[in-house]
This record gives sequence, structure tokens and C-alpha cells, in this order.
Amino acid sequence: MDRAELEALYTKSGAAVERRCRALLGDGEEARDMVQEVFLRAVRHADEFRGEASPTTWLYRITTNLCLNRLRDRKALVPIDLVAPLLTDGGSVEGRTAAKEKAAELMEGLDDRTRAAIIYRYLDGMTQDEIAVLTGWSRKTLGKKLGSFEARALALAEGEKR
Amino acid sequence: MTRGPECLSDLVLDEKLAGGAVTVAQVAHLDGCENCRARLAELERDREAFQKRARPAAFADAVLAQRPPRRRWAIWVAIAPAALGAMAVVAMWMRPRPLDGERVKGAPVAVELWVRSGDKTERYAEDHHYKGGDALQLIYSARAPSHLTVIDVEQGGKAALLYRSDGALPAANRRRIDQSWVLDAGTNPERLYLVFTDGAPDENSLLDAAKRADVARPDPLAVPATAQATFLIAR
Repeated sequence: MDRAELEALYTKSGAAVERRCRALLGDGEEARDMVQEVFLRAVRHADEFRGEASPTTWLYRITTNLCLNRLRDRKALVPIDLVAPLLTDGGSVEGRTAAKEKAAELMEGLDDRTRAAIIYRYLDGMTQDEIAVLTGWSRKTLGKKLGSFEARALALAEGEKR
Repeated sequence: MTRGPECLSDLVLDEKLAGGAVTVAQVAHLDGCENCRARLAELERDREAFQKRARPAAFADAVLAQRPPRRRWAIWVAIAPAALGAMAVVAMWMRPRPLDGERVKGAPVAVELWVRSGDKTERYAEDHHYKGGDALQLIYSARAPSHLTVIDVEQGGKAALLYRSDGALPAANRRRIDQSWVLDAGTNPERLYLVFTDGAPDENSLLDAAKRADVARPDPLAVPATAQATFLIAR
């Protein structure tokens, strides 16, 4: 990827990359640095860009993977706010705090690909077909992974209500 | 804002804003879904704000400064597959051919429709049957700036606005419009109507006229226009 291509890609897709970095890492310096890292990865691995995928899809995947690595460095799993709504009816502050603790429990033990799938589902609102393309899982496997995750979330939420 | 189970993902909306391929079904959904239109508007505002403050040259400096030095041949090996792929696509799109003027009622505008199916890109053929996943790309030539609206009509009168130029398209010779469309898995024939106008068109009038059109016949829509073209997409 040459300089002109990099500038064009940044102009076209920088907003989406920046928005997702902010959503995953918070609205600070770390997210701004991550935008540069995403495009650096794109420059270094331009040969991995397969013609059948769009640049947008490719950058979504890079952003998700790099942000998950960064979250792991922070000992975080995914942004808890992303899954906390699954565990609470959005009522009291106390309820939300408890839900965040449950969310941390919910995310423990999940592998990177499942965490990526959860981000695509709950941050980006993707369909299972779209997530399957990005994760490389079959639709059936993905359905099982997300189904199992949602069942655990439901069980935890029910436990919270009792 | 609530995202319903049928709503479009941010990926699709970002794709649309970046001028990438979206399916006819996705365009139709967007047309009728208040939530998705609101989310698209939100992403568009975010994108406009980004583009106002973005400094692509300085950003590229910062990114490229982090790239470790590599031998020239190594860089070439790394980028060659992508570069060759891009060149092949450009060559496909830019292969000189006579303009498809006979499809345009009115002058001085001409259009070409190209279809990418799998790894092949070929010019539209009326007798060809297209399938779900095929991507349509429009190339136009115009001697003067002109607004362009593209409407898709399915047999039975279901009409969807596929494209509306953001202001007048510039005068150009064989220029790609910044949007392509991916056909969904339907089996009914569809007809694309391309309407060129001097001023901003009245979308509702165009959609009403499209709903009354007979998909089987290549007649122009009964609307004021400087030029019109139509393509039947047989399935």
C-alpha cells in the first residue's frame, strides 16, 4: 500500500475505525493511538487483503483483533458496558453495578474468536451471516457459540433478579 | 434508538457511507426503517466531523514513520498481490469500449452497467440471467453536470431508491459512480431506472412513476428528466 492509498483509505474509513476504537477502548489517547496501529497493520499486511472482502470488512477485523489484544493487556475481556445491558433491565444504579460484575464473570474463559463475535453482535449489530464471514466460523458453529453465551447471560440475569 | 432484529448493522451502514456494495434488499430496508435511517444519519455526522478534522497527509506521515525499513524488493513482494489485483480490477473497469448511448433516451449522457460475478467482471447483457451476490456498477459519461437517481423496481411494482447523487455529478468521461449494489437471492426480474435531471429530483414523484411502470417493457418513466436509461435484470 503506498502513501496515496493509505491517505485515501484513512479518509474513507478512518471515521469508522476511530468510532470503534473509542467504543472498545474508551474515548482517550489509547483509542487515538489504536487508530494509527490499525492503519499501520493495514499497510504492513496489505497482501492479506483478499479481493472478495471490502476494505471496510477488513478494517473491522483488524480493529477488533487489535483492540481485543489491548483489552487483554489491560486484564479486561470486552468492554463490560457492551454486555451489561443483557444482564439488567436498565433500572437502578446498584443493579447496573451488579450487572457489570456479572458481566465480568460472563466473559471469563471465552476465547478470542468468541469475544470478537460478541463485539460484532452487540457493538456493531451484525447478523450471524456477517459475523460468520468475519470470524471464519460456520453459521452453525457461530449459532451455538452465541446461543451458549446468551443462555449463560440469561441465567446470570435471572440469578440477579432473585 | 432501538435496533430491531431486521435492522442493518453498522458494518453495512459504514460500507454504504464508504461507497461500497450494498444489496438491493438492504437499500429497501433502509428506505422503510426509521431506526436505520437515524443510525445512518448519526454515522454520517460522525464521518463528516471526522473528515473536517482529519489530516490525511500528517496521519500517513505518522503511520509510515512507524513502518520498519525493508528492502525494496521485499516491499514489492509484500504489496504485489494486492497491487496486481487492484490493477486487474481497474483494467476491467477501464477497458475502452464504445459508450452505451443507445440505452439513453436524451442527450448528452451515456451509461454503462458492469456486473461482477464471482471473480469475473463483465458488461451487462440483457439476455444474461443474474444471481444473488452479483454486484452491479454503473459508469456514466456526461457533457454537463447532472443529478442522477437510480430506482429499482421488482415485478409487482415494489420500488426502492437505490442511489441519489449528492448534488450534481460532474461532467465526466466514463466515471464510476461511488456506489455499487449486490443483488439479493430473489428470482423475480427487476428493472433499474436511471434518471438524469438538471436540478435535484422529486424522489416521491420518481418512486410513484416507477411503481406504475411495467418491468417487462423498457419504457422511460413518465417524469421530467434530461435523460433516462433502463436495464432489465433477468434472474
